[in-house]
Amino acid sequence: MVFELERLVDLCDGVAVLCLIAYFLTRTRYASVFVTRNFSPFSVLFMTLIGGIFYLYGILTGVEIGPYFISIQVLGPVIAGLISGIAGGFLAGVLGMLLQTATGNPIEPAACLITLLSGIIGGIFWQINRNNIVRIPHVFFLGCLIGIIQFSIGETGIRPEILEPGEILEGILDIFLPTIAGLVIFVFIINNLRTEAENTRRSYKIEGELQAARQIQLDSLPGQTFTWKSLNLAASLIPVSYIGGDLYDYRKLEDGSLYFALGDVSGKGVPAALLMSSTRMILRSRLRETKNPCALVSEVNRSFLEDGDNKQFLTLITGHICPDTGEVTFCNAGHPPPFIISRSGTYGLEPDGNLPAGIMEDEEYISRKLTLKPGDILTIVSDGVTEAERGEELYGFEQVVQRLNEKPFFKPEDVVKFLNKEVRQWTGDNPQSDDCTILAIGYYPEQ
Amino acid sequence: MITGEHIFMDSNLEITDRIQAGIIILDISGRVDAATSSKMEEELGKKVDSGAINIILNLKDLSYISSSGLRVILASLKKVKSSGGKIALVSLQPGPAEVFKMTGFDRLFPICDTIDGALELFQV
Repeated sequence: MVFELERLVDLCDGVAVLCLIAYFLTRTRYASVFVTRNFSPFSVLFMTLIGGIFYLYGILTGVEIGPYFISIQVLGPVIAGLISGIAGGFLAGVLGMLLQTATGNPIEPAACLITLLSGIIGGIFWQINRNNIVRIPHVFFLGCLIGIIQFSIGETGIRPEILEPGEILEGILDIFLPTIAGLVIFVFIINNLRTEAENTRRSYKIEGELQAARQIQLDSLPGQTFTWKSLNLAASLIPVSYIGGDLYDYRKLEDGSLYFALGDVSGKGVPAALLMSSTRMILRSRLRETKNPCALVSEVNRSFLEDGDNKQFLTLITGHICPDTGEVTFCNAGHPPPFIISRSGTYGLEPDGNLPAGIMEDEEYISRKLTLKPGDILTIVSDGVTEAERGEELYGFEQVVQRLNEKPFFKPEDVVKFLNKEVRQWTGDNPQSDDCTILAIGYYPEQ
Repeated sequence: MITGEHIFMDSNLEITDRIQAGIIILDISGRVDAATSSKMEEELGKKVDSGAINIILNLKDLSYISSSGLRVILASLKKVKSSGGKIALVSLQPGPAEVFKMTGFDRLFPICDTIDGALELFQV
């Protein structure tokens, strides 16, 4: 057997061109049809054109073995069939042969039959695989089948009685190897595209859903500023991810006081967000019966322990403030204590020793009362503020007090803006590590 | 000091374990945050699942604990408590101590200055 490396290289060239076609096919806007598999007559014609031109390319670059002309031209119709169905494969064969005649290359009847059969077989594989990705073993089988057809049909089939045994082997190598390799590589590239496009579509879908969830979550929060009687309130919530586990809430109560809450579900993202929205609803519905902060926290505690997975908990400050007297009653369940910004300076309150909600059944929560002086601003933050990270260094509860002490604040809105800016500056280029929520309520009675 | 075996180590969290006077002691150093708490959950869970009901957490080198870290310790506490055991904390540093205090978690665990002090708790 005379193994002519050069000839193999020539045929490899053909395979390389096929890869190039696959690459371009998958990068055009028509590529979406490989994913959706909704072939319009136009996309079938498009594949016919590609297949036909490749057929011609195969003819022009074919090589001769003894009395036979061997080339990979049939891959043109096969691929057109494999991608767009029987019609595409058949038409690509017809077009290819028209081009062949037009360029002055005669066609023999047997070659014509091989070409059309190849296109149709490619199309039959498309039918069988219709809704699935074409599997590589199937393609291998298809390649063998096409090879056998080329081998056995008509006068030009490779006949043992005409060829030397060495030449037969050579013929087999020349026909089967490029056909199988070409098909496998082509399908591999197309499959890659399908998987990639499928993943992209899925991630877009999830991202879209998260974006919608974020909007719902942010819309469910009351406005960021609120003025009522002698109270002026400002709030902000910046989730670290699309949605977060922090919440703030406030509403006017029938007895003329203002209810407020700020909570932080342990963990982040979707699981925390689900618990956060149910917490908000539990609080609001219990609020119809009582405004006692400890009763509200106990209700959330019960619900976390009864319905939760026993792993999540919630730190929460909830209470109410009287706009006439400035009297605040609140219950702090394991949350960073509030700050009081007064005209004589800022100070942080002490923790009250309550556990977060969702830790222990029958926890006896204690509440605390304080009275705001005119101009005082009650400020509550989530640990996204106190534990904002710069490297391993935390912003810290004390630093909040210290920084707030450095300048006078007259409006809750300024406090919220200032603290958000502080956190941004502190974390710098580091990604925000936790949801960041701030609620500030100022007391400004008419004097 | 008897040094224990490394059971987990990465750049942020290192856990070693040893047994002293029949009590399991886990030395936890570094940070227990959202990223490392699952590792801590796994290691602590292994001890609890293997039947340990009295555990000492040596937090001398713990620099930071987030709420996800608290959640992990709490889950183990709930398990050992149901079997009549307890988890004691030793050498809590100021940063984590503030977190324990703020969340009321300091009420849930005996907090000791030294390992010997914690061991005594379990001898009673």
